Amino acid sequence: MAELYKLAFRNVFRNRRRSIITLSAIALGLLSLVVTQGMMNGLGKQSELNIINYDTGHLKIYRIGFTDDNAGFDLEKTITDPGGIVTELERLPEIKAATGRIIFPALVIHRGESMPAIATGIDLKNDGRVFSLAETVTEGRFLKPGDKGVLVGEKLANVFGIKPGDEIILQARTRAEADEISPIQALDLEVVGIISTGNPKIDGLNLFLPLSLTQESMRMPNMVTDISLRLSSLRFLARVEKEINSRLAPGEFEVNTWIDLAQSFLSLHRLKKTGSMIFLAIFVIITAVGIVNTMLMASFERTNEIGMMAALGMKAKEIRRLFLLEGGILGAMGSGIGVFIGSIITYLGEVYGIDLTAIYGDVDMGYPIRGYWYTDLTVGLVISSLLFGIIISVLASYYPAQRAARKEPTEALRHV
Amino acid sequence: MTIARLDDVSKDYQTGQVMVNALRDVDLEIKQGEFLSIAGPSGSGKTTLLNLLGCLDVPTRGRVSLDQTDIATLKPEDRAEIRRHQIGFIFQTFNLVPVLSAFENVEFPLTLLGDISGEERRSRVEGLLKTVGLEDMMYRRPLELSGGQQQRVAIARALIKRPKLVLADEPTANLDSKTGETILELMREINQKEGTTFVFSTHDKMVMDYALRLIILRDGRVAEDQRR
Repeated sequence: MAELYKLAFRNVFRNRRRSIITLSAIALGLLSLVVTQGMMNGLGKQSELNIINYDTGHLKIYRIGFTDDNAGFDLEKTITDPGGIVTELERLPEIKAATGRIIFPALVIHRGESMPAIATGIDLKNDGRVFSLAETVTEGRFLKPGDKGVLVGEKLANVFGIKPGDEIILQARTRAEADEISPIQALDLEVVGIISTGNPKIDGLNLFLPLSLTQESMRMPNMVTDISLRLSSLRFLARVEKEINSRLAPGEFEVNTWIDLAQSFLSLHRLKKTGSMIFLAIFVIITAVGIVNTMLMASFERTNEIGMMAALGMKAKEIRRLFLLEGGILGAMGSGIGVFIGSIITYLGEVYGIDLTAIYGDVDMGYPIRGYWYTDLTVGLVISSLLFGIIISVLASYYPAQRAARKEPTEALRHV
Repeated sequence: MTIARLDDVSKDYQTGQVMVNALRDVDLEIKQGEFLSIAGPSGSGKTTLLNLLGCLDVPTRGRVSLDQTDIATLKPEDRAEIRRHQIGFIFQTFNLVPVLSAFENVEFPLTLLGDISGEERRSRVEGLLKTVGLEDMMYRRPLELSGGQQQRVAIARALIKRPKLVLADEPTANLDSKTGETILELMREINQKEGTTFVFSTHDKMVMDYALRLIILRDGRVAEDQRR
């Protein structure tokens, strides 16, 4: 068998130019595969983190009806005394932290200009255990207890030209008492910091203010609109969702995983991934045709030699194996080169990122990312791409190998 | 001892629209140690006869036996097995593998046998290449060798597995007469020393003269069978 490998290896470079062209095509195909998959994976991972870390946490609990499309943010559907639920939930070993938030629609007014936005009251003690807002402050500082201040998303701040230290007015309808039309509340707030999360929805629409201030201003004492959870691992998502559902009062609460809450992004991502796979499939087919062609030419050119080998006692299956090995070696080398270069490019993309602003400007490309797009290189991607390249090459060599193996020895020996 | 026998053998094959009767009613018996030449004009059936003796083909009618086994009853895999162990081939165009050195070309049939250690392979190949006078050119590739040297490599390759029967299809056709004679001399020496059976097909008068038995084919039939 070792001799067969040696022979196959040398045969690959018999027609050096042709092999190099085929090898380059395989390498280019695999390079594209690794880079494209690395980009798509990075996009998915970065988006997932941006959604989880700044928007949804791993799981969110609402009172049923709060997120109904028709009702919008229905401040009547709140969770009262969230502390009790939080303590209860934090007893589950898979839950790392829980925090209550109040989310409500508001109008931002600054120097006579106004714009609708989403305001979120965050628990300064616990929010950082579930979300990662503090590390996204680009100007000014994070919120402190007792602040009558607000954090503003970078894109929203840019629209108004807001800087830390500026005053804004936040106008919102507060929670209504029974039979009352909810009154409008206007809050004078100081912008304490600007945040850039990389999630366009947060950066373009959101403001964050202390929960205590929100509860007081929105007439929601000891109430929140949702409880967000962080788990010790995403592996526990389904299990914890089930467990919480069984513990909470039935018919009162709904539990949504981040996947439930990010459906629109996930559908878009699936669509784009499918698109990129179709493009790659076309590329792979073209490469495979190249391999078939190379191996057919080789089997045709070596017809006489195939006859000689059969005369020496080589069996059809051994001749087939020789050609499959040649295809496999060609594929392994091409894939190796392609995956190696692709991995370097993807690694550079992972370290330095792709500056989306330089390419698209600050345009929302439908993904919860902005600024830099980081690729994601994994061992799994490298190994699966390598195997894929080799398998495709061996499969593409099957027909030429079969053709060589089926040749009648006498006919092959007559071939000139 | 008879090592090959043809009983009333005919072989027809189709080339395009035409049916060719390559061999007709041939009876032949080859004994171990023979140095036999099959001669005849082009199209007389020489190569077809060698192909049948070499288990590369089966007859249309009649019976070809090797060691009393009817080759037509064997599966292609089993015929390959017989070729692998018992038959050596020498071709007019040498048919060496260009990417292998002289040593590796000679070693190749032994690697197919599979059960011979690397050390034994080495000593057998080196010994045989020495016998054919190529001990200084063992690691040259075929393109770096002359026609005569290539044919010596081919002879060593045919003999390395110690076959019962060596079939040589016009072995001197691509060699000048002096080199051809040297090659024939070498094969006869091996035949006499080792008792290896050689069967040639040839047009070449010199080869016919060297043979100890000469069979002349005409239109697919044995026209003459001379023993010397």
